[in-house]
Order: sequence, then C-alpha cells, then structure tokens
Amino acid sequence: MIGATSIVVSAIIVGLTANAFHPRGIPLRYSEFERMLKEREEMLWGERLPKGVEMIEFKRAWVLFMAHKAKFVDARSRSDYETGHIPGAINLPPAPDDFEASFKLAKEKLKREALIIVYCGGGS
Amino acid sequence: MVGHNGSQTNAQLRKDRKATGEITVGLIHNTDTTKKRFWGLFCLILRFGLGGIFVFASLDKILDPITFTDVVMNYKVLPNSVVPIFSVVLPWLEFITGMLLIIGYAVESASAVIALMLVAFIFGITVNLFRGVEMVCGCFGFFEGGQKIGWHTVLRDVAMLFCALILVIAYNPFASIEALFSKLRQGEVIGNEK
Repeated sequence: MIGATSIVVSAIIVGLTANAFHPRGIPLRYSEFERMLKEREEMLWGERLPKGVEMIEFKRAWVLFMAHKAKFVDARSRSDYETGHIPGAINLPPAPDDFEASFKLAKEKLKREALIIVYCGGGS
Repeated sequence: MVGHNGSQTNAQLRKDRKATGEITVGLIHNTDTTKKRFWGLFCLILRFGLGGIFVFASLDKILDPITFTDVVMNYKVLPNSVVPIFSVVLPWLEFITGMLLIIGYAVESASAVIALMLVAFIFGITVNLFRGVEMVCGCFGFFEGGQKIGWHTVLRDVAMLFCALILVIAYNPFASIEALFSKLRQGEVIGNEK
C-alpha cells in the first residue's frame, strides 16, 4: 500500500513539474485549456481558409440540416461513410479511396448548391 | 518480502544439508530451485513485457500533452475540471511503473498501480463502447495509427490486467534489483555463519 501510494505521489510530483517546464505544457485549469485549444484551432485554420469558407459550430450545422438549407459532404473514408453518414450527404473520401473520381462526381452534384457543409470524423 | 523468504530458505537448506546428507536434500533442493527459476523466468518475461508496453505507451503522451488531453476529453468519463491534471500525471505514472517493472524494483506495488490503471482504462473504453462512440483509444498515442476502440481493445487490456495481477500476487524476483539486494544480504549472512 505504502509502495503504491508513493509511486502515485511521485508521478504527480514529476508530472506537474515536467508540465511546468514543458515547451508544450498545458494549463491545469480546464477553462484555460479550452481557451488554448480554441486559439490553436483559430491559428491553424485562420490563415488557411480561402474566401467564402468558414468553420462553424455543431449547433449551426444542426440548424441548417433541420432547415434543409445546406448540402452535406462527408469527407471521411468510404468505409466510414458506408457505416453511417448524415442523411443526404455525399461522400468525398481522401486517398487511398478514389478522390479524383469522387471529386468530379461531387462537383456535378454540388454545382447548384448555395450552401455546402463539409464534415469529417472530428476528434484528435 | 519475497527476497527475505528466499534467503531464509537457502540458509535453512544449507543447515539441512549438513544434518541429513547432501544427496537426498540436494535433489529436493534442485527441483525446488528449478521450479523457482522457471517461475522467476516467467515473471521476468511478464515484467519486461508489461513494463516495456507501459514505458512505450507513455512516451508520446509525455511529449504531446495537448493531444493526449484532447483524447481524454473525448472519453467524456472524467469531469472536465480534472482532465488536464489527469492527462499530465497519468503518462508519468505509466512511465514510472513501467520502469520499476523493467528494473525489478517494488514490482508488486508497481504492478498493483498498473492493475488499477488498467481497470480505469477498461472502464473508460467499455463505457464508450456501450455509448456507441467511435473514437481512438489514445493508449499509445502517435504509435497507434488511429485505430478505433473495439472489444478487442478491452480484451487486450484485460489480458494485461491478468498479467499485472499475477505479478502482484505471485511475484518471484529473478534478474531484478530486488534479487541483487537479497543476494548481497545473503552474502553477509554466510559471512556471519562461518
């Protein structure tokens, strides 16, 4: 028991110390961590998104789906798409699935769409 | 504690050899030692295997705490307020216990901690499997290849849990620092007897 407790205690001490000096260390308060994640995401995407493209939150996508105001594009692999996808979404899988052919097809189907929402697996 | 018992047995057997004749006791001594050696070797394999897995698994989580914290968040098992602290401490717990197993110090305690961790992992994965969530395990971080959790993941963790429990209950020090220490202690005992 004492052995196990001391192991856990030393891990806590080492972990917290390592985190304090870590170049990629994280804030220990969750609200600060969440803020850090959002800032990173904005940094990653802010520079790269072309005009007319923006990242939206789930709620907004949900509302647009319920109102049938957008066409959904599933950017995951073919097998993921076949397992299950948002009703009405078309699949535009990355390599090694056939991206080129799917892209041609998608282009045709999306020609007349005013609003397109692309989604993928999310998570890490 | 096992080391202490070991030195006691050897000292006892040395006395017996003098009293009852070497050959008979010698044979019993040999089968006993052989069994001990086999079990010791088996424990060594378990230690290196389990310890190696845990050290290896901890590496990416230590180097990239941001991604790992995100993974822990995804499990949605712990309250968000404790997730950062958990994500910072757990990889080091894996690393330390794994190292202890490899060098063979405090093996029973380290294995107990490993068993507890595995129970927690099994719980987290099972909960999400029942929720029907498709997510990555995050067990090995970068070295995982984005494999999604499944019942095979649970099975793998249960197998490891079984190994950890064996080490907690029936550990035999062999080629470990503990054995080295107890041998040194035995050396002193022989010196005193003569």
